[in-house]
Amino acid sequence: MTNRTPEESRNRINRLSEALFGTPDEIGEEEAEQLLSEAGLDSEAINDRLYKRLYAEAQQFWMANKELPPLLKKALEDLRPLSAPPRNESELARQAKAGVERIVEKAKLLASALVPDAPLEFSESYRNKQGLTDKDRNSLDAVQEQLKRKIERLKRKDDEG
Amino acid sequence: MRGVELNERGQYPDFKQLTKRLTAYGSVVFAEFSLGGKDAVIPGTGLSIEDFVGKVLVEYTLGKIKHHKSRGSLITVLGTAMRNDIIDALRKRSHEREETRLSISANEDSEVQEREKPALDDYAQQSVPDQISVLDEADYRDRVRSAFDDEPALKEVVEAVLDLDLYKPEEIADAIGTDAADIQNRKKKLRRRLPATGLVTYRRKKAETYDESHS
Repeated sequence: MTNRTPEESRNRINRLSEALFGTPDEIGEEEAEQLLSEAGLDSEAINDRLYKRLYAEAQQFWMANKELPPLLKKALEDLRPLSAPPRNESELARQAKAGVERIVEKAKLLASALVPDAPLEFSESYRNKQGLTDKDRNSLDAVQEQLKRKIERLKRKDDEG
Repeated sequence: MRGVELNERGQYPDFKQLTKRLTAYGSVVFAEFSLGGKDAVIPGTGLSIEDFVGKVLVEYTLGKIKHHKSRGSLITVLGTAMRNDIIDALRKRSHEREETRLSISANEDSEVQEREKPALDDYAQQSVPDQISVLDEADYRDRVRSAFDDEPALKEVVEAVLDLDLYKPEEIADAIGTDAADIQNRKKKLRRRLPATGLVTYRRKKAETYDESHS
């Protein structure tokens, strides 16, 4: 049996993994959203916590009167929660824009009657489709559940707003 | 700003998108090592996918991880660094556990055993990765094979990679008699199925030990 260093073994497994499950750049934004949703991970909450972590790093630069590294500055700009008080006019404008976009998104959903008052019922014609495995059906059920939850969430936000 | 800090298109990266994609990739890596769900952590360390994503992004924003175009896209550089961190944490954890086990069995002083035992109990929250040898290639191959054994289309890709040593989508496509786009779709399916299926612990080693002890 070949004696490999841990690094060699790790590289070999990484190579197999890349061939089977792909490299990180094979996961696009849309697929990422699906994977996160299926894993029950909330990307907004993750962004908020990451922002706090980066903010703590930034504080050390501010305390030392040093300029922020450009990438840290950009990361803080990108991840700054919309709920945070605006620090200047451009942030105020960004938050206002995001607020309007959210309202427009909800209005579109309401207009297309995607948010009915009655409990949601989905057409499940795929169930009779031939050539689908049980796992395919489970995946479709999961997508259906995901959509249901998303609409319910929007309904709740709409009721709160 | 220096070129190495920009993404592959020479622009500042979008950190929201980067975080989302890295977290998704992290969930795939966790599933490869039988860790799944939103509360999944590496046993004994408490480290979650989010911790690993945060670590590489902090390092990147502080310039500790540099991105050079020659090393691939930014997401690949950061994703690979994160994957290696996850594997190192799993290895370290399983190594510590092994050492703790050895120190307990070597020491016959019951007082010492009493003192060390709670540490093991603390680590019992998720036991699956403790049973696998993180860098055992044969074990990894067995676990992948058994996870997708009942899905012909996915099994074909698994066999092309594991048995024929084919790594590029075009090579796999040629061997199976399809096109590269179809292989990419199947790989996407493999990723999606992975968290549900999980690469469960394969007990080959235990079986061997049993055979050896009865031969």
